[in-house]
Amino acid sequence: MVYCDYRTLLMVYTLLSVGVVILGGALYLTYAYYMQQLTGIGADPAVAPDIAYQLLNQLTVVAIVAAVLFVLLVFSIISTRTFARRMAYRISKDLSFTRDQFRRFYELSPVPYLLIRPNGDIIRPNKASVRMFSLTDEELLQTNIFDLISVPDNNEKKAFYKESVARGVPIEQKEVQVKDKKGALRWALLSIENLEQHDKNRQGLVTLVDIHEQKELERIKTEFLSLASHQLRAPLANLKWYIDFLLTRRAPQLSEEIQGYLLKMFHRNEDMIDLVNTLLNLSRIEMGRVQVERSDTDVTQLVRGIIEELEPAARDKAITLHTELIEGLVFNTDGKLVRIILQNLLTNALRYTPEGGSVFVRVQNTSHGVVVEVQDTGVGIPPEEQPRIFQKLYRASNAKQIEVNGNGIGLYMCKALAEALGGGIVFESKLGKGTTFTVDLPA
Amino acid sequence: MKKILLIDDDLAFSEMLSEILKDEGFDVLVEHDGLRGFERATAEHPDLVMCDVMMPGMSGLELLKQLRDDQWGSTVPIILLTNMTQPEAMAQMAQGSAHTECLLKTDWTLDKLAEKLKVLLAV
Repeated sequence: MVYCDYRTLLMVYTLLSVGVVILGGALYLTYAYYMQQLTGIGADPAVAPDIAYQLLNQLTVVAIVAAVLFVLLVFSIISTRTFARRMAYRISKDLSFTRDQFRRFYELSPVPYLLIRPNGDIIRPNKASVRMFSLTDEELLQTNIFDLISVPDNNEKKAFYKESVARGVPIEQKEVQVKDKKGALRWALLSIENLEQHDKNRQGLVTLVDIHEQKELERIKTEFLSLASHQLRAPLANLKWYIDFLLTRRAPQLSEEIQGYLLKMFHRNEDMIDLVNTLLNLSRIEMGRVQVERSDTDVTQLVRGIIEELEPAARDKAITLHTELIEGLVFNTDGKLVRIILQNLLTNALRYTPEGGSVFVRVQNTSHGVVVEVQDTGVGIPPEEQPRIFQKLYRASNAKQIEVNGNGIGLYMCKALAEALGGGIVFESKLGKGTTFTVDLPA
Repeated sequence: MKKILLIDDDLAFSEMLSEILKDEGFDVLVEHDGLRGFERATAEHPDLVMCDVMMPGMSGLELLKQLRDDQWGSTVPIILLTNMTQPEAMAQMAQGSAHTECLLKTDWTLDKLAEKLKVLLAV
């Protein structure tokens, strides 16, 4: 038997009841009508049987329909009752989640739980918490929870948590360090829930979720950052200077062939330096460490500088670079960040514009700052992919076909940096026609 | 011949730069530790000091400060060498005192360095 939803059954039940009432009413009215007809014509013996026969026929049909509906009604009531009985049974099962079961659940949970008094004294640790602190039950029972946790670099926070618990205010998912018997520190997420409403015998439930591995990974990431900055950049810088030295100071001694190779090495090395810089910037953004250092910046000069750098690439693809700049437009921003944004947008524009196309750079002065537009006649961004274009590591499908070596970081970084500067970045794109990125930079 | 004191704990970089500077026609002294670099500077009075920012013994910025407090060192041209991606702070610090430049190891070219040396040494 299929148990449908309790509410559906109620609805069917109601509809059927209404149906039966209506049909019953119709039945009575028909009967009354014919009776009136019969008496009206004075019960002509020739017509009466005929009318009575017709009446009987119709009454039969109505009776059958009513019978069917009645059966359905009974059936629905029975099934509803069975369903209700089953529900009741299930609920009774739930209630039979006994104190014993609950105790075992608390004791054996892999998550460290501790029941504490409002002052933080531990009254009931579970097995996982005993493991976490590597203390015995007895030892834990003589300890205050706040003697076991610490908040690095901010001991005021600990005092604040302690006070919250004393006042019965819950604490949710705060990063703390817990100290075990040997003094080893582990990162954990601390939550303290208030169990009882009444002040008397009030207890708090402490939950500590071990996030040590996550924090370790974060630390490794930070270390990698420093590794990348020093161990990678240093040799790249070294190479750069040697190649530069050979090219500018030893050129006469070198054949054209060797000079050509050296130039290629120089450029590949510059690419590597750029990549390392990008990764460093990305890590900074990830760690929320973008430092905005504002100073009066000549945007026009900045744009010219970038265009000058990119001109060789544009020439190679016969792309015309059009600029609409405002001479001597100086405003207060972080030139270094603006440079990264525009460099990325222009590099993209050149990369994804077919040979012979155009790239436009427009700088506009607004009441609150500067707006820079970078427009290209490139391949465009597929409409269905547009919402994801600023996501980290995301690359549009057509972009991947054109340039295999992209990293999907550029636009993500542009957006993050524009936002760090208090502005934003938007775009408009038509597939096969081109894309326009608009960067809003408030002063 | 102008004398340049180069202080950098990165052995490969200081070796490379000293070779290049010698080739440019300078007399180059090399130290790999901030403190010893400072002692050498005050003892030998070079015409210009190039020093790394992050160094054992004494950081480049500390060295800069100490040299500027010194009677001889107050006017000696100093070029800070850095590997950091955000040289603005360094540049500002360098601008704070006269005769100070900040060189980003991955950004500068030899021609640019040669030009700066020419200006700073007034040759």
